[in-house]
Amino acid sequence: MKFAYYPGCSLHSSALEYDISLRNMLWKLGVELVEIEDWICCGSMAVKSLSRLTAVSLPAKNLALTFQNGYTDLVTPCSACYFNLKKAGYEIHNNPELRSKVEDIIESPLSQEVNVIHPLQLLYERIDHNLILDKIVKSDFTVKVACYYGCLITRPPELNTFDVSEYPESMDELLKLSGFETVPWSYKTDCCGSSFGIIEPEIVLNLLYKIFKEAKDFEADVIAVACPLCYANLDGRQAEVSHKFEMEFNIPILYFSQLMGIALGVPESGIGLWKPMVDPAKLFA
Amino acid sequence: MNRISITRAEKEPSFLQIVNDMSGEKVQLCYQCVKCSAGCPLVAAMDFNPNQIMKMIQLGMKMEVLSSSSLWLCASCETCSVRCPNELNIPGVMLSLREIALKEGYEIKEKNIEAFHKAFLSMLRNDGRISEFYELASYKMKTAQFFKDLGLGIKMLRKGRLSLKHNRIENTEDLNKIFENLSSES
Repeated sequence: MKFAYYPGCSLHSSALEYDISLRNMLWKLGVELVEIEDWICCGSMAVKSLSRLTAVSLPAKNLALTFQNGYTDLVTPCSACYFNLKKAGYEIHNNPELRSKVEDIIESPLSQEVNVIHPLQLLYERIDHNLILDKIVKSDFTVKVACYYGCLITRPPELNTFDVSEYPESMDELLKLSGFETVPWSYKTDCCGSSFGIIEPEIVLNLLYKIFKEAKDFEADVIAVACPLCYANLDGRQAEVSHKFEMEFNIPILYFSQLMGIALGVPESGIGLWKPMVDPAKLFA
Repeated sequence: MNRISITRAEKEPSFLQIVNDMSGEKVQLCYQCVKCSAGCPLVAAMDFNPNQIMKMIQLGMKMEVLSSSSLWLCASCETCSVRCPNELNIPGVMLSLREIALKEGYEIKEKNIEAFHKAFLSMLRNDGRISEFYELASYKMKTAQFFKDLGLGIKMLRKGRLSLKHNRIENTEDLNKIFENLSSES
């Protein structure tokens, strides 16, 4: 199975391990991601602050490119990209006036709807779970995982139909299938504040503290994420949170695709465990 | 959280209409159940709670709303829009307020947030994609915050978590057209 792939800017730089582990684990399941050429930045959390029309036009261009490349399904792993692409498609489809305006701006037709799919949705809905079970080569883990979905994968409900907004389970189920234990914590979808990670770190440290504290209370060994912005924030700022709140956390952050990759027998070089700020080595000792 | 006296306010009902038209929402649907503010992760940092902002829009308190820090501190996390019993998309309203505040030349309370977003858009305009390291550097230059997070930055560079590679698209013709068309739209 081939899917069009929109990696987004982070997966080409700070989140290389998400890109690598995702491609490799999906390959094991017979799925190939084909990157669309000349995709442009979706505008992330910044452009929508400045101009709504620009914030719709940039993702719309990528939707048009996807269709021009012969695809109607587009897989995108970053929460911000996923949200922006999906929201732009939704707005264009429900507002003919906006659609014709955006078509003039990007100089491409937007007649065909493109399904924007998060990898969790791809694995949860489009791939036979018996196939995943068949392909698993290692499942004797003693690692407890806190699945952290962050804010934009499951919200709002009109955009995201594959899981529940307030207490999602898709990542939990996929990781349980892969031999991990997951914890029933209540901070799965609480915002980590990563869009203010650089600008207002003090606010962000308070948000992160609540997330780490709850994961620690549930004795989680690792927090699994599905977004490069969450990863950068939870991994990069964890030492500062420990310092500020005088509490040692030392909870490694991994992408769900890294954990599933290990279970599916992707070699270590194909998972990208080489760069985190919080060392995950103790997990697999 | 600030307490406000709503009786002293200048009423500008047309402001409500402007916000509704721009956001595609109907702000008068808000009946002050306060669920948005109860779940908002950023509420402690805001000068007015999201439910107060909705009320102030209804009352036409344009100046107070557009000079508020709240519109800039909304993280667009969508917690409120999931919980709003009237399906009001509050983050969408906040984004429209930012756009109106910028257009009308209001003094922006959260200048760093605005500066970060502008640095981002300017890199996107030039390269089509974002190179995280250079985007951060450009923001730091614009806001003269060279030492904040320097230690973390160095650690991340050493670990290779921040790449010095420039991300750019090869063919910028389409990108240029989009931005030219956008500027003739506005």
